[in-house]
Amino acid sequence: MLPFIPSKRSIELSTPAELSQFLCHAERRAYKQALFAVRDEHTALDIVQDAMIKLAEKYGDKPADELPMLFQRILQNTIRDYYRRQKVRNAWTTLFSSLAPKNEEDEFDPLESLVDDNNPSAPPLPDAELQQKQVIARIERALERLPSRQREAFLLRYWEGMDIIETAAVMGCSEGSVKTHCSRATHALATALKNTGVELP
Amino acid sequence: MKPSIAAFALFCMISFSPATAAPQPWHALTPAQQEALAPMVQQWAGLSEEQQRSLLDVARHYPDLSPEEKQRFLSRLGTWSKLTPKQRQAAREKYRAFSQVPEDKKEQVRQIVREEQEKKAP
Amino acid sequence: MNIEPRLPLDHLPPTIAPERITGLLTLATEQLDNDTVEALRRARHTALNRQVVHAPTFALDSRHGLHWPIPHTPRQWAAAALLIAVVAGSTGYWQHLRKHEMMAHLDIAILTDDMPLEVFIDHRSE
Repeated sequence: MLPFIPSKRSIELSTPAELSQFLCHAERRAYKQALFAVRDEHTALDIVQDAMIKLAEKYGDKPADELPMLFQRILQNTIRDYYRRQKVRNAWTTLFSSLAPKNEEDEFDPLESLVDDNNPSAPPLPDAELQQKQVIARIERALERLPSRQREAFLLRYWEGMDIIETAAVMGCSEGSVKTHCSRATHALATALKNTGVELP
Repeated sequence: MKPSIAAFALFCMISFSPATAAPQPWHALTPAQQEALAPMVQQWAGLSEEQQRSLLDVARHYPDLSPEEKQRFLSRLGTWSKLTPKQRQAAREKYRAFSQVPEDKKEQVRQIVREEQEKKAP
Repeated sequence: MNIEPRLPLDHLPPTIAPERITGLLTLATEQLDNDTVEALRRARHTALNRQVVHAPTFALDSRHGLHWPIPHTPRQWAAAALLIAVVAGSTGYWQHLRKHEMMAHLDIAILTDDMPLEVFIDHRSE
């Protein structure tokens, strides 16, 4: 039997349940954000876990209303770190695989076949749910193709619901830059969706 | 806040809030709950509402466990529920403190505990 | 009334209300597959286990008049010293829990950890 008891004093601080609630609420969007940036599910999960741990360890006792901005800053920084590492890795892969046959790592998107009129095996008109999935896939791919700063600004402002000041603080840039990034992102996304000929609901 | 996000947050908060306060008879539990709390079937009726509630909170996570974890869970549940609330609280604090310890120290402690156990085992 | 020449519509940059896009993005998060949702839940629990709450370092009380089980073997002494050293050295702090979710989370961890339950139990009468 190992004898040990720490003495304890109760101090009222931001509770573990508040952090838990916040993470529960934020984790899916965080995963998607990471996925748009690095385009790999395992890496995206690693990024989210990394960011959550950093938040819990460094800011675990902050008041609940400070958590969103802190977490976003950590998340964006973590994404950037992984992304840079992945780019380096991809550069090497590209260098050595240039003589290899067609790259089989290209993601196969079964929905592609639905919009290709030349594909004889394409099923007839998709139903509403499938069409929605198609639209979502288009949006997500368009987001992936955005320059990272534009994507970051767009998602922070419109998906995380931050205002221009908060977005600028998280991104470490000026408010003017945020506005520019956001409008460019919006236009780029609108263009990408326009070209698909798919009407947004 | 977007409506669907608010709804999701509300859902999270509701699912984490305490269950209804009234003590429940064993037969009112779902099969999943009964499986998780099987070691407690004899004592269930005698438990306070509080204790029933915390056991049900814990049982909720049971399906997510691996087979090995499930076995440990079931074998320890009896001992755990016989502790006083103070003892349980003290155990949680010890566990929490231990989990914040650096990994190499944790491993050292685990190793020592393992060796102690081997000595005790016939 | 001034009639100004108007730009043809397709010369204007296309635009879209961002909310229409983010609404669909949110929908997509609600349709994530089970494996991913489960992996995220595990990540969340890992992070919560490592949550640090900063407060003054606590000191060990000497409990007068109560019987401490004394370690007998050098092994037990070593384990006791190690536990005391690392916990006293850590700045992690425990606070009284009122929320059931966190308690359930910890209870599960204690009940399934590969460390035996007895390590965490204090059998003193108080």
